[in-house]
Amino acid sequence: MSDDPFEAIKVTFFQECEELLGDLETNLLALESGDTDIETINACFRAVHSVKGGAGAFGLEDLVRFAHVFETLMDELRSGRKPVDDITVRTLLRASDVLNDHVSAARGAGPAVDAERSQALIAELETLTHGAPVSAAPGAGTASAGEDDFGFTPLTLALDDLGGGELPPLDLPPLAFIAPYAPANQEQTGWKIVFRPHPRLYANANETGLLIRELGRLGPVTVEMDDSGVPLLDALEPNDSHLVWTMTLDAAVPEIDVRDVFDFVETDCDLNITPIMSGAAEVLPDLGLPDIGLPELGVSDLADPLELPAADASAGEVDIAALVALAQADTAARLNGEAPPLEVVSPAPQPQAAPVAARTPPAAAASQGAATQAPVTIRVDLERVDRLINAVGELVIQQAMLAQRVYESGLARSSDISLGLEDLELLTREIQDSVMAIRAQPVKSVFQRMPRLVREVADMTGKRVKLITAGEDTEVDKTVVERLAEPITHMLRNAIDHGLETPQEREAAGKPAEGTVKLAALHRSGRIVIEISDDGKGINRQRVRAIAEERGLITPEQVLTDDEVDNLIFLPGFSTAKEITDVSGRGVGMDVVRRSIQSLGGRISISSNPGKGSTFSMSLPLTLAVLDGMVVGAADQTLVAPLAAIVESLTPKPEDIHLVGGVDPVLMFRDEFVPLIDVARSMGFRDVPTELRGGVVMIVETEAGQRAGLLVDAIHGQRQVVIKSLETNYRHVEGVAAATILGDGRVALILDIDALVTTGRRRNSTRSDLKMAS
Amino acid sequence: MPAASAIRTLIVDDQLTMRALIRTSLQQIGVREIEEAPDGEAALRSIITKPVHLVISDFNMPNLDGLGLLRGIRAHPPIAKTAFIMLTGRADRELVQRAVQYGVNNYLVKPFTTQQLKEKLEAVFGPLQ
Repeated sequence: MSDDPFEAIKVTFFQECEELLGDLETNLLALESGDTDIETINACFRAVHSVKGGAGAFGLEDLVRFAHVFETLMDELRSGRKPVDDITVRTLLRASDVLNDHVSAARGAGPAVDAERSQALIAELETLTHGAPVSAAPGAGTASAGEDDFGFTPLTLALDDLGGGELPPLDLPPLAFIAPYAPANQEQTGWKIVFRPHPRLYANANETGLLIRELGRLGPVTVEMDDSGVPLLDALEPNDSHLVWTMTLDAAVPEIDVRDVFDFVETDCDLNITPIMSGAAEVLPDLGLPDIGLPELGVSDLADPLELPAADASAGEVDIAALVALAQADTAARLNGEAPPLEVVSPAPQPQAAPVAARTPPAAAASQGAATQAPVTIRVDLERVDRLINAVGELVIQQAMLAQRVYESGLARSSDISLGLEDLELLTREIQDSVMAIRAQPVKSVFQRMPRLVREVADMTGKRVKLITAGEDTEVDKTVVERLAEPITHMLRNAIDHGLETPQEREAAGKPAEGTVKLAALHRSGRIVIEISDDGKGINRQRVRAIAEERGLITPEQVLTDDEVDNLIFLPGFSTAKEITDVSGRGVGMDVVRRSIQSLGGRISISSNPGKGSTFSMSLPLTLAVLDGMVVGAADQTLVAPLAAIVESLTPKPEDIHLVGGVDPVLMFRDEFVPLIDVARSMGFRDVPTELRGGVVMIVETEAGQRAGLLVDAIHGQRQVVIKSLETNYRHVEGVAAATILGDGRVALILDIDALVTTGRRRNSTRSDLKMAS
Repeated sequence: MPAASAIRTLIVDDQLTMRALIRTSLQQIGVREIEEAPDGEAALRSIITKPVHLVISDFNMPNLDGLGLLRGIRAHPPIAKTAFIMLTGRADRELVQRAVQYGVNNYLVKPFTTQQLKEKLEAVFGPLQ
């Protein structure tokens, strides 16, 4: 953290900006879909306004300038001076993209803003606002407009000369609702005594404790001691008095009785005795000002519609709901432009004196409900959460170790101990789940970025696209959320570029000119599934097949199901676009998407319906911190293979093993030869080949879809393991993805199946001496 | 001459950033007791159970805006005399006029400096210690 408090606040500001920009986009999209509700417009205005406000505080001039022009147009819309039409909303959406760029640039998280684009949008916004751009010269006009509105020249408001001078006299009716201040209708419930003894008090052999006891005779007393005045030990002057006592007497006794208690010490202390009134939980210390008072603004003697009856105040329950309702009704009237804002004559709409019985008018009840529903959140440094998660990971390991030791020592036979262990395990799991939930985040943050992408890709390809999102609130680990953006971006680009037809083609095919792309997230059996579907033309299987054959990915004889053909597009080196388009090309194919998803422990597939559209669906683990693994033994090592990669396990029969070209051992598996990798040798645990007898083969599938057999000595069982990074604790080791700690305290390496298959094959092919135990 | 540390203050703004900025500035001025609320409604609820000497409030907020809050405060006798400084993003004359009409004590245009905030406080409370 920086020493400068403003730097820390700046960090908060940018975090807040992200939320504000998200809100802005959501609300602009609502506007686009025809929801031109005043609250939606106002929410847009507020978001831009808040960005501008914060930016102003930090002197981010470019951002302020752009936000200002944006805000001005929003203000026009808000006031109803300008209609919310299609062109305006589309311009606003593009402006929100540029605003985003400005924020990123100011944050130092993005490239500098395209000045031309920004300037062009400023001109567009100004044209929409004023009918013409305010200035041709970049910046100049807007800056001056900004200055005027920002009031960088401070406008001191002397409340008593508002009638003249710069501000025109107010030609408005006097206020009806400000009742003359009257502290009546309140009942005294007790006394608050702030007592600060002088050193002399102690010198005179008086004692606070005795006074408190004396006070206690009058009624129940609560005492608070403020020791914040006590200096550090080396500065402590033992004869001085440092403590301040605040006593609350819960009895409405006459003041003289209270004063009597302090009668003898009154000259040796600071004593402040104030009555405690009902209606307010606390009594505000008097500032000792003559009257900070209300400006004399024609306070009328009309009855205050909200003047609360005595009963209300005495109950200590002020009718806040009614107050809020009044204030809100007034606000609504103001926002709808219903003048005048204040009712002079009769406070008709308010219920008679707002009695306690009518405490919750419907509107207020609703808003109250909304207020209580809003979740309370705190912001926590991610590092702290990770530390907690790490500690819980250790806890899980310790718990497993303890359980194992107990069983090994035979203590588990005592049912008390085994019951306790079971409870501990359940509790540990629960803690683990709760901690993981802290890191869980809705995928909203990623989904929110997509409408912009869709707009840009649609613009570039000349297609018309509507994006529908669903399941934005689906939660998944933060790391997973962050890494979702790239594959989703890619698949969306692909869906629009390759999936959707041009408006003309669509109309010719009898579809609406506007294509629909749907982005959805959902939880399914402990994983998160992201689906991207389009209503385009679907996959052209003949073409996919032809290309795959041309690239040598399949042989012409190979018989493939439709699904298999569709999934060919994920193979490395496959790209259906004849020329790499600017949009989904960039030399990156779907194989890259597949790889990045698989590196997260996920899978991706596509299903397609010719003429109707395609659906990409990817499934990912909810967290990257734990892994379902198969614990296996190779040489004297215990290893963990990710369960997701294992297709099946089998005991190999010698007759199923062949040597290809007399070199590479392969295993006949379901009428198919798969390369056989000796894990112990491949990892360098053993020089001599593993005996087949007693060995076990796990058939695994790599991310690229290749199958291989991993020969190990034994399979110990299936277990959920906590992933510990090897790179952080040691260094990267080929063939090893990470490490974990097992129940017996030993470190086990988690196999990197892909690397192992690749290098294993290489080693196998250089040394062909895998001994066949026949 | 009141001590700044004695002025119990409630900051009302829907933006965490602005609340943090105002709080920091207030602390630099010497104000110790600072409460925060994210909108007018929350502020009104807070102030009724825990009165303050001063409210520094943004204008544009969800639920209940600054003027609504001001009106609510002035309409309820026990808290009606709370000093109120309105923050405004623009020197919006109409807003200021309305606020004056509603009984605002002073207003402050964003962005502001700590010194400007102090001047506003002093305009309301007199010179601060």
